[in-house]
Amino acid sequence: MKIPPLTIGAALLLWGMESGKIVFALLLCLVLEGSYLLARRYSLDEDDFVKISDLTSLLFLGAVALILLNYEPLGFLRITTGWLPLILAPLITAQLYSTGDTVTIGTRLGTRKKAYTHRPIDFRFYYIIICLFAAAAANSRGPWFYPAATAIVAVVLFANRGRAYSPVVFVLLLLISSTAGYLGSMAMVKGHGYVVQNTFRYFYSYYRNKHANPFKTHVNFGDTGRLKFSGEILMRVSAAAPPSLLKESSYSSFQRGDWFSRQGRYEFLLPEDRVSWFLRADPPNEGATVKIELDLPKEKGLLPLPLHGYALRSATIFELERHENGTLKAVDAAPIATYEVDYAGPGRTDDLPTRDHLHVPEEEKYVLDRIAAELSGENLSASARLAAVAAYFATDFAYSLDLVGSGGFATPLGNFLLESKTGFCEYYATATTLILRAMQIPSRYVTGYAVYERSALEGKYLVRSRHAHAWSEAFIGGSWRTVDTTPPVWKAADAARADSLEGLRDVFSFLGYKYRLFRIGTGRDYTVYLSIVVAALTVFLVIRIYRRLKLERAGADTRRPSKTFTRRVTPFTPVVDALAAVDERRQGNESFSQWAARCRRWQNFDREEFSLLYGLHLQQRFDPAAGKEDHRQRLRQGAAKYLPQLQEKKQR
Amino acid sequence: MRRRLHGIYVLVERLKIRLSARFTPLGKSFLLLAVLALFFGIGVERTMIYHIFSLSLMLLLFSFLLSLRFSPSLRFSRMLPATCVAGREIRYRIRLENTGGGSLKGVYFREGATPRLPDWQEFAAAREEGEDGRNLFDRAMGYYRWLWLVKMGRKIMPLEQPLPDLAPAATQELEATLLPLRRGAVHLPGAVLGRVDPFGLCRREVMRGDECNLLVLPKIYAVPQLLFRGSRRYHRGGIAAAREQGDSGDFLSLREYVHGDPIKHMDWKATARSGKPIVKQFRDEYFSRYGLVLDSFTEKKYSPVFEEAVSLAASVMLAQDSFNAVLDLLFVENECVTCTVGGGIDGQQRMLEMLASVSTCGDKPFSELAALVRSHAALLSGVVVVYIDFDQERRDLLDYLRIRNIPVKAVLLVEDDETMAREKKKHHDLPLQIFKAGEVEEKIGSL
Repeated sequence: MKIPPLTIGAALLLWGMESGKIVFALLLCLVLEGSYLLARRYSLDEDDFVKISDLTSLLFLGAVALILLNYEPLGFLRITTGWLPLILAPLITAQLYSTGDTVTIGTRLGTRKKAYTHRPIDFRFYYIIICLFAAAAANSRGPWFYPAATAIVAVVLFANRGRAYSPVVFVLLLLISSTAGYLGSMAMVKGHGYVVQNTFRYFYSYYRNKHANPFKTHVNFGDTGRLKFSGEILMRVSAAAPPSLLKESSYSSFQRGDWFSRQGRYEFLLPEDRVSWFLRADPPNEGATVKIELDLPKEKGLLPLPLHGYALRSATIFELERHENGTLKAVDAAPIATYEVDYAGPGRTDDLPTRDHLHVPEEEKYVLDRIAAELSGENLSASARLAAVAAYFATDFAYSLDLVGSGGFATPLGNFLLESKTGFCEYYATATTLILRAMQIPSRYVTGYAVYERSALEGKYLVRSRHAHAWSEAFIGGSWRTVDTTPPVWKAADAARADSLEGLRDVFSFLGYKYRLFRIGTGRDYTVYLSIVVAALTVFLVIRIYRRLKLERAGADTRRPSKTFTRRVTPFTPVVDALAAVDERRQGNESFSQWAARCRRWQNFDREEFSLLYGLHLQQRFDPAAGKEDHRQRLRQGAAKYLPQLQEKKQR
Repeated sequence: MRRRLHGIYVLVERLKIRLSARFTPLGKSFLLLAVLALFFGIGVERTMIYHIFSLSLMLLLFSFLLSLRFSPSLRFSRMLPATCVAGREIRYRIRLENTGGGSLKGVYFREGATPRLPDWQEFAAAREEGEDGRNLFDRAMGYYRWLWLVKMGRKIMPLEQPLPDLAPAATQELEATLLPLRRGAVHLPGAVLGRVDPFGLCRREVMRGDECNLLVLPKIYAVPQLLFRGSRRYHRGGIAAAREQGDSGDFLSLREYVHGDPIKHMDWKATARSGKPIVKQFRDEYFSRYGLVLDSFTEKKYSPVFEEAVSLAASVMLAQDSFNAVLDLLFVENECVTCTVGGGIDGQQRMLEMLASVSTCGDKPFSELAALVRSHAALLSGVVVVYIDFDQERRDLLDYLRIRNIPVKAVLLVEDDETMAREKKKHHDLPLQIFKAGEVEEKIGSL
């Protein structure tokens, strides 16, 4: 691959201009392009290249550590890419200043082991591409990026173009394809916007962070099912006997497959003191306590709570808001919010049912009324009706994560209740809520998490994405009660979906969690100290590797000297040397004596004799021990005959 | 799992071959660039990498489309030799005639070679050279073993050569080169003619010329002619293919006396002249018959030591006086094989061909070869044994030959200096010469 001079420099300058690192870019440009001006080269063997690779790897790891310490993890990749031209500079410098034209990438970290090496590569093209990526990662949105990048690529392409076409054709085609490329990138921007608009809601992260969006008040029928596929740990719960369910949010209206919350508002919740809040007007004197450590990457979100929670204490939540339906939202909190909630049995509540909690959608009435009629006996108490609903779902219904369609019914709910009788928690919760309403019991749809998996590693209960659950709450006897009709096998069925590497991931998650807790919990910022330690360690290791490099300056001809031999001289040597100085080129199939005869006009030239002399000369050179005095004598005579003729010509 | 991995490697290798036929090295780099740019540039609001993706994609697209229009109309023929020697570049003539209306520009030529991909049995049974030194993951995945097997299966290295521009109806003869890498039979499906597109990213290749086969012979070293103290033996009925039978009395040549030659055949004048006993040689059925025993018992499919052993055997065979002596090559591959050369039988080429395609024997014990040698021992005046390993059975064979008073020259080829030092210490009492693979050429003179 041919890379014309100044191309690497141009790519570096583009990087510098785009990313604002122009000083580094200029310095690197001078160092790298200087290799075309300087004749100095170093003899680097494979071992040296491996050491330089290790050095580069260390620089890379050091840079990654510094970036992770000093920046948010979200921008890590972009920032690292932005510094790659500088991090990888040792490799390209080694190639440009070495006597070879390739670089061997390998590793030898772990001193005594044999180095692992890859096939030698020409790193120049890759370095140019890395510079372009780094320039693009800066995201300057400047108008010159595309033309400049195209020009750099065009120079490389021109040097390597097919011989069958003329430069004019090349330029024309380049203009066409670069214009098409520009139009293509414009189309990508448009297309990206379109795709984002249409698919954003399907992305998991949307659901994961949905609570950070204060305007979202609805949940899709099927949301929880999607969460079932992830084993990511969301919170850690400590309590001797934790509540089996942690409620996150509740919804009152069901329309066309979606649950909506009543149009209430979140209101600022006044703290009792700096670290505690009362959640009920009349907190009881004693109850159970549960400690929850919740992952809040955006530092805000809904707080899962046990039912009938009455007090909350936390040093890492700074501001809380509460919805009319009792949902709590942290507006300002640490990335890991640790809070304790006291909870007790039902008590007086401000969270009273409204008309919405008895509303049954018209399109679902055909099935709900039928079932409600089956289950409602005459003059049954509310508790007895509740028990009848629970008993109804306990028979003939099965658990499955497959989505159920409408089948031959008007709505999926009809199919679920009358035909398929299989589904997951959302089906059960929706059906239970609506059947209770049809039986005149105020009820609502609740989402949250089930707590049941205890970790031996952490000594706490782990709540994963997979543990997301939906159930119903019924308002009976002046307070809300949990009605969970999903078959209890759901926990085992979901746990069976966990992959085999989950245990390993949990260990890493635990370590990451401890590290983050350390950063938050100490309240002191060690970033600067840690950065200094990382930088010092990297520099120390880099110096160690650098000192092991055996940089040998190569000769002026940039070729590595091979073995040296003592030249063996015979009396005939001056003749051979004089002939070597003649301009005439020897043909491939020509013997020495033929060539000698041809390359000048001799007087008295005897080719056979000359051939014999040359043979004797070679014999003397390569096997001097076998040389006899009479051979040397003949060579002397031959030299005396032919040398004057050659010298004569020279003098002329 | 392994089997599935093998399937994946086969697919990847085929993909690599297809990609190499379609894209130049620069084109492959651009493909990689496009994939990376797509991966990192998908967030068009966060970076401008999407510009790089779009540009590289368009360049590749145009390049690909432009490369499609290449179908040269030319008459092409090449004159390849039937055999060649591994490691020695061969030169042959190619002849081109532009039969189309336009001139041909920027076309390159290389010999087409169908790579043989290792099958599952081969992959499962093989062990890469130095595989024990690899880490657990590499050993479990076996990808390096696969790459090594693919490399070992590559018998020739086709070199890409640019062709000169050809005007319409012009004819040109050129010299092409080809580097045979390893011994064995090579099938050449034809010559590949290709052209690179204006951007130098894609290419189109077409196959022209006839199919042909090339036999790559093992490397040959300069071996001195071996002389044994062994006597001539009477071979009843002679050799069926020998040109003459019986003691014809035709004078053939003079040669040095060996034990067993009749005194009446001494040429006293020549003896007096040279100071050594010289006998007149007649065409007769008394002749020296030597054995060349090749040890092929190793579990490795490809072993550098075995390759050296084959080269050494071929070199010994070629160096012998094929007119006055008969050489029997004895080895075991799938079955016991004996091949005779010399004594007027023109079998050298056949034996070389046999040695070109001999492979190791991993499923039979050494005792089979020992039994074969023992059954021939009565006829042999001397034996050259080339071992690639040494154990009690091999030692017993040497002892057997020594007890029978059959002169033996035994060579043991080893992989490294360490083994060589160890074996030398262990077998210092035996007439066994130990050479390191790779250094045979330098040391062979002492044989």
